[in-house]
Amino acid sequence: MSPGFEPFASADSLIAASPNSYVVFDSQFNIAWLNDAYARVTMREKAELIGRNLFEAFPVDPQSDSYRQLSGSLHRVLDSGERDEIALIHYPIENPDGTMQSRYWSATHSPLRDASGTVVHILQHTVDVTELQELRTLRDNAGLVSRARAVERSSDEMREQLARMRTMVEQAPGFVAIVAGEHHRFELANAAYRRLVGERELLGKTVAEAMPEVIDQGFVDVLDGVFRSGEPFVGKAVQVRLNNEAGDAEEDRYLDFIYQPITGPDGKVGAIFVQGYDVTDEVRADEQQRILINELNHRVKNTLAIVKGLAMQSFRAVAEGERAYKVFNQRLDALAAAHSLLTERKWEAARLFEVVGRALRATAGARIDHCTVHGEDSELGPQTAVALAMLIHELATNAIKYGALSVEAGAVEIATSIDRSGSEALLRLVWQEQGGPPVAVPAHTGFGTKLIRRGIANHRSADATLEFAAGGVICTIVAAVR
Amino acid sequence: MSEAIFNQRRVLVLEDEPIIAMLVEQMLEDAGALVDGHATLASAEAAIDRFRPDLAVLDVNIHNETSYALAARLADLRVPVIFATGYGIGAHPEAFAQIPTVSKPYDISEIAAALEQAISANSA
Repeated sequence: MSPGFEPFASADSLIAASPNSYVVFDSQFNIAWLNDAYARVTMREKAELIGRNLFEAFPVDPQSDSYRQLSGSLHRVLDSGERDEIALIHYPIENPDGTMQSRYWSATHSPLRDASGTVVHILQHTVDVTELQELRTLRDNAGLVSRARAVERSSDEMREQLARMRTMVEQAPGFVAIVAGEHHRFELANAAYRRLVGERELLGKTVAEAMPEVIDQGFVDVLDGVFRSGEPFVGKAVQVRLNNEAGDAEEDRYLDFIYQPITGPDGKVGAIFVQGYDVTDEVRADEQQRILINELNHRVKNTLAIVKGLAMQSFRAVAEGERAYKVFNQRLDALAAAHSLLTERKWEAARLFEVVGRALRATAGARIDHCTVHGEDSELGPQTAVALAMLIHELATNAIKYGALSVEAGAVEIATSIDRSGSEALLRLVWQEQGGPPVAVPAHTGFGTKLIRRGIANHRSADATLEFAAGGVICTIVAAVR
Repeated sequence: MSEAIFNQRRVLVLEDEPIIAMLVEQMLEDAGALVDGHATLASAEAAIDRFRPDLAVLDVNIHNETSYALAARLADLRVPVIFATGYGIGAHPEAFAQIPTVSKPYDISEIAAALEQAISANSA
């Protein structure tokens, strides 16, 4: 230590003695402290300012730009906790003689925090730039003022736009969040997101801290993957179990969402944008509908079984009933087979080859080996599928009784094609028997033949022809596919 | 498949819909089986010791309960079991997924085929 060194006792005295003017306001903008320079520049006594509200000590019209600028800056410091600057403010003050003096200032407002980090005071560093301003005014007739004002106006507009954007994101119907860094720390979470997770504290916490229950469900792993790879992740109706607001119960939700990586200027992923919708109601409604369709199918199948039972009891009670029962029972089985097929396809569509194959198997049994199906396969609408199954059943029944399937050497060839030239696709199916006994035109037409001749009348071009050709029966069916 | 497998076999039938029960019992009797039909789980359960079935055909849903527990007990006694259901095939819980199932309405050949499958699974 140099001899004669004088240690500096208090930093406070430094700012108190500074030629720059400083003043401290509390959060109500009451003057809590000021230095000599501030008293000098405002032409007041220290004692008369301490404890007074800023806007009482230096009154201006609350509608004026002066008020708006100063009050706005101070509020921003309180709201954001960050420093705010006023490049240029016109703020007149009172002379000791009571007249008003026009003054221009430049000011910086810095937040002062208490031990807990709350902004309790604001330090204003203000510079009287009136002379400079007057010189400039002389020089360029307020050019600087207008420029400075333009800059302030445009930053005001940006602030407003930002505020509008924030409001839009906040009120968006879908949930939105931004999680930053490799630990996925919440930077933003809108109202829908906060609602989804039971209104818990999110900002500043990592996903794992804020929502520990999702770790084991693999969501943090997925975020890790997106952060590492830079590849977005899209989830459809993904089940997630979330704690409720009180944290005492869990609830399953179903979400459609995307984890979109946000890359910085360096090309690296800095954060992940989370956006999506709660589709729980839709998923539950689908489930409800599935249960209803299942129940309906069950009822229909049960009813068909009951009809079979009734038929057995009824036909057996009458003389010669056994044969009639067999015919009826087989028709019912053909109907049931088509119904089963449609049930398995949720009544949306059935494959043509499968409809034909099942009807043949139900009717022809082992003689299905004598049948070949070739041509174009296609989806069939439910009504077409049921009608076609019944027709195939009748054709096969006739073939077993009188036609190609009644003898070992006989065969049935079924050829299909789809005509897509019109507005509606048309199915063309040709049933051709070969190698059976000589065909004779039947003396009378039974139910089966009548049904076949009616065809599947679901289109103006729909048609069915039944030909008792000498070499074997030929049946041609044309019908709309759907 | 052959309906001859039913000849002189003791078949326990559980079905709560009377007309369907009559149909399946009739079909089985026509195929030569000795049938003991029941409409409730309790009565079918009680019949196991008395009737000593060789085979069992169980409806899955019986008065809003399921016959899974009964099927498990029969399986423990190494009695081949098949399910008859109006619901889709493959809707069983995992433990019962291997049990052959016929979908209503069924005929005797389908029941015979399923029971043959159950018998061969049982002796495997």
